[in-house]
Amino acid sequence: MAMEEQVKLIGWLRSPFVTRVRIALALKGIQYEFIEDDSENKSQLLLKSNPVHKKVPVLFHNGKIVCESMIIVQYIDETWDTNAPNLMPKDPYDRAIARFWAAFVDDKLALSVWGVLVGQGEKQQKAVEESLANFLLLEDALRASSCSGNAYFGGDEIGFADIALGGLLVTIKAIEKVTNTVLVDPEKTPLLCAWIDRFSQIDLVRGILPDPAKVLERVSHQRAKFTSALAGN
Amino acid sequence: MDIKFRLRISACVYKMQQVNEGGEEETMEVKLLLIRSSPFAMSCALALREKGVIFEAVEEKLNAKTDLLLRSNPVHKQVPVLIHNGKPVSQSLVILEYIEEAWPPSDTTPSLLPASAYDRSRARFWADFANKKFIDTGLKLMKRFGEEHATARKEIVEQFITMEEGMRAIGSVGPYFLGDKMSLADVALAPLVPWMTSFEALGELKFPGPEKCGRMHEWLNAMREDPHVVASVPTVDWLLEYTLNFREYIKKHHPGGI
Repeated sequence: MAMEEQVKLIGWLRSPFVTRVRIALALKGIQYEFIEDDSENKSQLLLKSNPVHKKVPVLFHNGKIVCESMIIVQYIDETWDTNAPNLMPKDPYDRAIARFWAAFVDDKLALSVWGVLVGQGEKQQKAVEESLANFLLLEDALRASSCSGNAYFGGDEIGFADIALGGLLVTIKAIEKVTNTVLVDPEKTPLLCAWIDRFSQIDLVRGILPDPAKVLERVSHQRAKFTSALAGN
Repeated sequence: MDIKFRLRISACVYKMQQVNEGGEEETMEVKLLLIRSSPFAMSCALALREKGVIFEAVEEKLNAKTDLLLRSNPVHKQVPVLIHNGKPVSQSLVILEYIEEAWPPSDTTPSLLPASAYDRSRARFWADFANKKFIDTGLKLMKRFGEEHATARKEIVEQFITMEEGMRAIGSVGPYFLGDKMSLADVALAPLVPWMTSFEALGELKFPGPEKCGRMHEWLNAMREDPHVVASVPTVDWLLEYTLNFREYIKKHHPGGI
């Protein structure tokens, strides 16, 4: 029984979290309508669809609503399970490793990098050190993966953990530029840098990664907002 | 599935595993590194019990972490850690998903995630909310004072109402988040049952009653009566004493909170 699939995605293109979902949808070859929303003036549709967090991305699929980027990516993988590629490995332990690193990106890495953006002086320096340490841990994870001959975190194709980190790449680069810091150092994390190049040059991904200029503009704006707030205290 | 039925299933699985341990070369070794005051660790203990998995609970001390913990979770150096046949899994939500997959649903093993991708996404959403929002606010209630504490008291009541609304939006049948079967959402939140009672006992806040939050109270009652939950989480008395001591200690050594 063929059912017309209706897939919609609410978000804004520069969001790293929206980028993750767009990559997953593209990998699976899913057609969808993108509904551009406004971070400064969130639509009623967004607020009603995600009343708990009021955040993007939000996926609509035949009237069902799914929130939280990596939960959406899992939903996509499980719903379109016959569309290659599989975004998660088969073995439960390998799946746990993929989930672990995706959670690490969200719970540790994203936080420390955000700390670099909004921090000043000693606080910022601490955030830089934490970010460097976090990227080193990702380097270790890649080394372990490449020992098994894998080009990506989970295998020889991009998967769950790659998507989790990949969504953030343009934003991380913009934060480095705006704060004049080096967080991803080719000398300290050569495997990670090679992974970044490889990931960014995949045709599908290249077309989806946000416009660096637009991300830079947003990140600069956020830096100004947070540093002026601090100055005012 | 009623409690007596589930106890019988657990007993069957226990017996099967005893036979296996006697007769096979392979060692089915399951260790859970935990501390009793960690709701993240307690949810993993609950999931293992739900699945009827026999495990060794290894109680860690945060100020004297064992080599095993540091080796098994070098990235975070935290509990909980599940060690299954020598392989470590860390981060409670990752562990819960692993438990569901390593001991998949069968005639004798219940599922902790529903069958449909959509329902699974909802279970994951509320498990994530329990961990990232509700427990996080609960920890603030433990660790902060003054205005920050007042904000946390207000937030946790709002989050309680959010979960009530979430349950109602999903459907009218309880007692669990997704209906009549336990899922990761319930497992993640269950350790907060005695916490909620102890927060109220400290006299600093009051969650809405059953008239306003009927589903949450139905859920709380179901959890309090569930033998696996009771076996996995601390008692209210233990938690009250722990909370009072903890806050005394912080007031003395870190009066600004931590």
